[in-house]
Amino acid sequence: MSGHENVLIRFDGVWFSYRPDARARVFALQDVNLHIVEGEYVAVVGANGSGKSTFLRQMNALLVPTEGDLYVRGWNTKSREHLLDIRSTVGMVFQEPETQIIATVVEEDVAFGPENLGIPETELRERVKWALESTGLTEMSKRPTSLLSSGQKQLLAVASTLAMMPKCLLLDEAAAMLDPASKRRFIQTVETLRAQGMTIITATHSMEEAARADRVLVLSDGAIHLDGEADWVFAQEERLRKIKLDLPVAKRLAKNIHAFSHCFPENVLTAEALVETLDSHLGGKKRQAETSRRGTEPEKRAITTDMPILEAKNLFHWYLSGTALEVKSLHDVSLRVYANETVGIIGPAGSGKSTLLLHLNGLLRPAQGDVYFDGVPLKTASVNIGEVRSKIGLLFQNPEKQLFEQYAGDDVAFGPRNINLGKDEVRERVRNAMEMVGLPFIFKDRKTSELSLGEKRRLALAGILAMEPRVLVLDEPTASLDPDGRRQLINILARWNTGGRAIVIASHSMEDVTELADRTYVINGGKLITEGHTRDVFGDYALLVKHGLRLPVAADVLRQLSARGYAVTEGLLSVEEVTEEIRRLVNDETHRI
Amino acid sequence: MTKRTEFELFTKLSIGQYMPTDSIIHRIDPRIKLVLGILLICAAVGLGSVLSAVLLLIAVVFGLLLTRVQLRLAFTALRPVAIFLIILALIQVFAVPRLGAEDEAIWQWRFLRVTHESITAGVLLILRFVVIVLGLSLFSFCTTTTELTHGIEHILRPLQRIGFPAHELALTVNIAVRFIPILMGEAEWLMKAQASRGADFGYGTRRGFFRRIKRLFPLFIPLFAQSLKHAYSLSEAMEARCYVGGRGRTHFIRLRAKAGDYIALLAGISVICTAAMIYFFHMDQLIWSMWKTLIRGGIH
Repeated sequence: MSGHENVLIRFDGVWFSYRPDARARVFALQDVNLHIVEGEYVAVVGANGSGKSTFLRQMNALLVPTEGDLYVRGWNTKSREHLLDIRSTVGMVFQEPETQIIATVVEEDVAFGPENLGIPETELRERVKWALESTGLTEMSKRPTSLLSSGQKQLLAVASTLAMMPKCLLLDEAAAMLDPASKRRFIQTVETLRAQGMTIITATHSMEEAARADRVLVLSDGAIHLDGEADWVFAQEERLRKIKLDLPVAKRLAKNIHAFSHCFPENVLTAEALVETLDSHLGGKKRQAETSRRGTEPEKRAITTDMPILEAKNLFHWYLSGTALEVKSLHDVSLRVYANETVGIIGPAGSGKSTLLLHLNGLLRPAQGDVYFDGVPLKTASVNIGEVRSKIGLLFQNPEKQLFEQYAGDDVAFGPRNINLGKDEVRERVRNAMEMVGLPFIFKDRKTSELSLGEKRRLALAGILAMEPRVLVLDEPTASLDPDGRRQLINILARWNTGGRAIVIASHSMEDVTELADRTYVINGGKLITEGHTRDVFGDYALLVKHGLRLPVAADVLRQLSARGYAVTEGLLSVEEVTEEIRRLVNDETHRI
Repeated sequence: MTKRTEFELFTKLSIGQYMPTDSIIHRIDPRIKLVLGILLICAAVGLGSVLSAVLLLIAVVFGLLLTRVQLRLAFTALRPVAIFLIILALIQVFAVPRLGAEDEAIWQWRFLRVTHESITAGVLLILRFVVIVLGLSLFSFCTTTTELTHGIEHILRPLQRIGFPAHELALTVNIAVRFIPILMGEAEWLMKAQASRGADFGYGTRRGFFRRIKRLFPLFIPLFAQSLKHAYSLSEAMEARCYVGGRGRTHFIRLRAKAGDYIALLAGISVICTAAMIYFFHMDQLIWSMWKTLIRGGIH
């Protein structure tokens, strides 16, 4: 933050309001004063609705300050004269893969930016070639954009921005919707660019991602709450907690270790750094594992009956069957869900998870095999599939996009009204469902469009719960929620799962699955790879990596220690368990000294 | 193989589907394919002669064979309309009194009259339709939507000088084509979400028509809201990439016609010209009468 000659972006008392003419002006940004120097790697964190997106959009003049000024390389964003200079200097990658691709072929999409800048043909071709190389997409150059995976689409968005030769990349939660392997690749690509001198400004909900940056900006209600080096920002635990943000997992572990071993440094932010510090802290004294120890079996919830509530037996499914584009999407997949249990499904993007979920309440019918609810096959002619669907509640990815009524209460009532309940009973069900997800009943009169993302997500869940289902089937329930919103949702789900109910959850977040699921299924390429107790499945690191998955951060710390020769218990997943294990390790070692 | 559920909106695509077989037809300059396609449709509609229609049909089938796509797939596009087509043709054959009123009737019952003319009209109707549908299939089998939009832009580009928004038009078509599957996918998800909450378009095949229509209303509103959101995000993405309209843009794609393209153009135009000549110089009647004399000669 020194050296005024290479200041890239300067905020000078910036206030911003989406409706500057309204009588009571609401400011989405309040008095922002800061500057960003060329080559900096800045993470922007804050709860949903704290103004992160608005903040980023100021920097490439998609939005301009209502009051105050913003300069990019000395150009004021309010003067339209240098608009193209500003936008080609500061490129932006958005969250949604689908709506930021303009052309139908990869290389033409990359060319779109420089075409607009009027770059002559020879240079244009060179830029496209270079941008594709920098993102590893060269082989895909002629491919239709619609055939890319979401991970490739996000890389394409980076390539398309790079082709304008920017000095700075703005990333608006650009990796939020990706599966673990794509996310890793995306972050690697960005960090390579950073090493080549690119300024990176990334808005994210992942404290892990933020911890990799040099500088962290914390936004709260449109104001800069904290601004400083990552070390310093994450040391302000109280202030972060007050605005409902988390610490990175490695930092939490470091703090826990510090609590019992005072010479251990607290300010460790990444898993790699933590392992490194632990290794030197333990004096490098390694013990060969005498016996490989395992974590205690999870306390099994009482299984009330031997018959699963929900069972899929040998499902086969083809998409677009009978056409030239036929794709086999499920191949001999079986799954059992018992009462009082939570089942996790993990696998990379496009593995068939969503297809499987759609079969579980009969929205898709299998080509072969069948789904059994309470032992009754759904293919049976007498089964009322509508009733089954109300008993097996399915919540889709981005459920907030699937709210279809204007008022929150009506949306929750959609299901109960469909099954022709009386007015009073509908009201009662809506009240119960909304209370279950922690939305006060008076929220029924709110407009759905005015709710926050976390509230919308919970409202969508209430809409399902109002049908009084016995099984909840959830697809990526926590995606793009802030840490607080995620925590609330996880708690609601854990609380709900009692009295003979069950939950099936598919997620890219290994933390979600390890926290909630008793048993876990791994699916890839439409096939069942493995199944078992969550601990056992996550005990097989090689298998996870092979299928594009990862360990939760805390568990990964143990795995890395084990790889360095320390004898650690396998299959420990939560921060608490891992803390205990490290305590044992540290005490053991100190004992030996 | 499997009974599809009502939610798979994509399953029956036949026309408008690109088939990546990379044949010589695929490699023809899209501008030429576009021009020939338009000429073919004009010819099929405008040339009222069975023989020219047969000639066009042979040319289209020949083109389809060259694409190496199974011929069966092209004909599946005809299946859903076949019954209407046959009924229309029958009406032409039996119940068009105006046609050939002075012509001698081959067969007559009350107001139903069959003449040489009406048979010709019926056959012609079917032929024209088949030529157009197969022609469109041929075009879509071997032309990506990207090539199509490039073709349109290149053909119209000269008009830009007189203020015609050729680039904007091509970009609009391009975006529309990109968003149709996205919106259809979203409609599918919305239907599934609503069915999960007891809406009933997913089951019960014999529901009343109006009930089904009524069920669609809660789809349209969120779908419309979604489209607006998409449009907004896309325009933001375009702005972020410095889009300010067609002025001052350079072009990554430059279509250049090669010798093969000109040969294709020549071949196509000569087939269409032949068909036109057959019609305008009444060569089919000539051939018809030659045929008759031949047969009579044969009887002798």
